[in-house]
Amino acid sequence: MKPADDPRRARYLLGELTPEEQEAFELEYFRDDESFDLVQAADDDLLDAYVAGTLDAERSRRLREHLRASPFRRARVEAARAFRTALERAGRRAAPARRLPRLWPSLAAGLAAALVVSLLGLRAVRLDLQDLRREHDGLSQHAAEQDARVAALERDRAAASEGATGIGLFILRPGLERGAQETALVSRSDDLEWLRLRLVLPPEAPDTEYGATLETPDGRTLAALHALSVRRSPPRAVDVVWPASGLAPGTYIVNLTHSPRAARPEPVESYTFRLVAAR
Amino acid sequence: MKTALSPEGFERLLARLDSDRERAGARYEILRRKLVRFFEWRGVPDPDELADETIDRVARRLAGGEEIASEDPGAYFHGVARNVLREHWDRTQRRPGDVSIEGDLPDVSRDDEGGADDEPRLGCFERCLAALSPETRQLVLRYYTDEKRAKIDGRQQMAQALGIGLNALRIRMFRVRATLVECVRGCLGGEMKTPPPHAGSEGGRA
Repeated sequence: MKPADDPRRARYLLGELTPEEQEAFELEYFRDDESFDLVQAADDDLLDAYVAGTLDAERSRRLREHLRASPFRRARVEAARAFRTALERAGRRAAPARRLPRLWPSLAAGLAAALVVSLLGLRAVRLDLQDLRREHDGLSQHAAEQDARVAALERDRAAASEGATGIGLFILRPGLERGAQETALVSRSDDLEWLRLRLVLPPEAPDTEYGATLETPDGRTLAALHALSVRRSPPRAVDVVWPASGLAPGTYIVNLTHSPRAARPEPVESYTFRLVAAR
Repeated sequence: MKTALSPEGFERLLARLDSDRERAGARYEILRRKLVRFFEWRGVPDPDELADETIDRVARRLAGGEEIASEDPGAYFHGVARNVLREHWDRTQRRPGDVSIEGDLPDVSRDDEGGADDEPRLGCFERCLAALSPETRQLVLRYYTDEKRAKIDGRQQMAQALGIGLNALRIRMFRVRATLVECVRGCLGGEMKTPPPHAGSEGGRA
């Protein structure tokens, strides 16, 4: 049985083994395919650590020495860097729906109250105080920004309730998962004909055209809209309107993308909400 | 120094690797991959060329009536490859350790978002990632995202959760990644090769 952490793998790849150790190690992977795969996996890890900057100085120097001689290895480094960036982007895309409830539980409660106080009332919010203390450190400025957003949200809600006949306006913010246990739900009354969602843009999102798809959690696309422009008055957002009649109670995901008509739309943000029947 | 591989030599080589022709072909591919990476890890600028030279040399010996005495052809190939490498170093009068690292060595570890040149590759990676099954994609994200200690701990937890050993997990994720890299190559070449939905259980090698 092979050791789970065989230090020879990294040492071999960095040229740190003695000639005798090197020969024995190579013989192992020439004889055994599993050993060969493990060396290749270790090589991926080594190059990943190098592009992440987590390799110590001496090992980075050794690796650079190898890279200089080998265009093959340099190409692998480039691939490792692209792989890392792609994973980071994919991770950022997957994370927002979970992030805000952990980062800002009290703020999420505030947003929830502002959003649906006229529809459902406030749901209890569970606070993880230890997480709260840890994660709130150094974020006081962010809190002020969020307070301003809540105020804007309340203005939006008031404006929406003025002339809302058959159209429900719901505001979804980046990272806020509406419909999770701690937050409010999007309520669908029987006379609701259209569901209007205001997708608040992340601060870094540019003023450009966007596309949006309404999807089920298993990835089925129910509707798609293109060439959506950014709403000028604060908060910066994109409004989408879908017929509500065909939407059954359940969880939905709205994916917002750049360049929706291009071959490769670039994901901007995902918004999750749960649609429930109004009581 | 490229030499032609004679049909007779190639036939003998395959026959020595496995009596079943299909399995012999698969063994040949793996052996060639091992040779390429061996030369790459030893710092040879063109590992493909020396891998082919090694195979040619073994095939010529077999065609000339020589037998591979070793039970395992892998060990025999390794021995020949070491000779080929030594001769290569003698010819070129340099080894990786001889290279000075001072001067204009580019720092390829820069950890930015990638230049404009990387955008097509990044786009392809994203498309290929998106083509994985949600479960496999989640595994990839979990396996490769943390750093240092968190990465080690995270992988141990993953292996436990999957009910497999750490090495089995490493191999599995390496094959998923290899499949992704293949997909990216196809994508960059204009041909999007969709990874199998459950890539990793049967994926290929790099």
